[in-house]
Amino acid sequence: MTPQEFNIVVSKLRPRLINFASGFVKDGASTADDMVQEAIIKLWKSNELQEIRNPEALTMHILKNVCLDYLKLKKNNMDSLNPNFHIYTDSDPLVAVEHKDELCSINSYLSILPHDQMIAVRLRDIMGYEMDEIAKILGTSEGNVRTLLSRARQRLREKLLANGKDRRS
Amino acid sequence: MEKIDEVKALLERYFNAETTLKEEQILRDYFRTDVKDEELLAYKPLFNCFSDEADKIKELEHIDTSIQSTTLKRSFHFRWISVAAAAALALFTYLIMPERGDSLKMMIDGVNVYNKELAISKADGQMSNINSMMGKFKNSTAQLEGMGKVGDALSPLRSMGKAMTQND
Repeated sequence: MTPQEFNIVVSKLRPRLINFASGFVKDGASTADDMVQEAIIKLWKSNELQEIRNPEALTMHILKNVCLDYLKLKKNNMDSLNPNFHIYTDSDPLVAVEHKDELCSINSYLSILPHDQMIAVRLRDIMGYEMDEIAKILGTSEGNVRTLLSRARQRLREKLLANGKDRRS
Repeated sequence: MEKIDEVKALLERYFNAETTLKEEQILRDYFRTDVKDEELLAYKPLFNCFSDEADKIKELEHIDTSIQSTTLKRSFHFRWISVAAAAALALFTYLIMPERGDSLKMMIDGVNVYNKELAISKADGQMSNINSMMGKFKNSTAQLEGMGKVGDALSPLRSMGKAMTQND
């Protein structure tokens, strides 16, 4: 793949990459952009690039790992973080209360999910990837992807129905 | 009622991760409408959020594609504009040159000659001089050739070479 071809592939993917990375951070643009840049650099340096038939799946796979590494790093260094900085994790029940204006935001729903389930939902319900593509991105089987999606969606249903009952009472 | 039953059946399959992408799109399209069923109303915010996020990505992808095609068109036009500019410059340079057309330019005896017929007659005169000089030169070379033959005759090596080649 020539540098020009690589640039074309990356340019087309960029909106999806930014959207995906934005789901992992609260303050959005610049950090998500950094993560996408890191993934692109890793992709370019990857020896698999010349042989890969599906650069999109590989790019998303690399970005997913960059994002998860970022979350692990931030979790380990929570004390040194700016107190205004928040990351969405499944152990942060105050997120929905503190950010009431974002209750309709997709992140308020996905924040209750474990990372792998959250990623599966993003890839399927927002980005519209097929099961086999999601399996490649996550580095797992299609069967496992269905399991992740099923569990994630049922957790979301429980939250939705619980919210609905709260509004009625 | 049939539509609602269809949606409820799809929803069950959706939460079991058994739906196809097309079926999931049917669900998203349905929840974009004015949903009245109370049971289904609970799911509207979630599907609308998914649709909104998907639309954001499509919009950004469309913007990126438009920018790329505009950039390509601009570079294409720019290339032709630069070719046209170069051609115009060349034409302009040709047109502003003071000497042009079919006028002959000749310098004879250190004097510029602009008159066409005069130039031709002068040129003819010069050519005839050259021809006469060439004629004399031919005569001279003929004499030199004669001297060359005498030289051959006198040279023993040359005469031996000739004898050998004659016998071949």
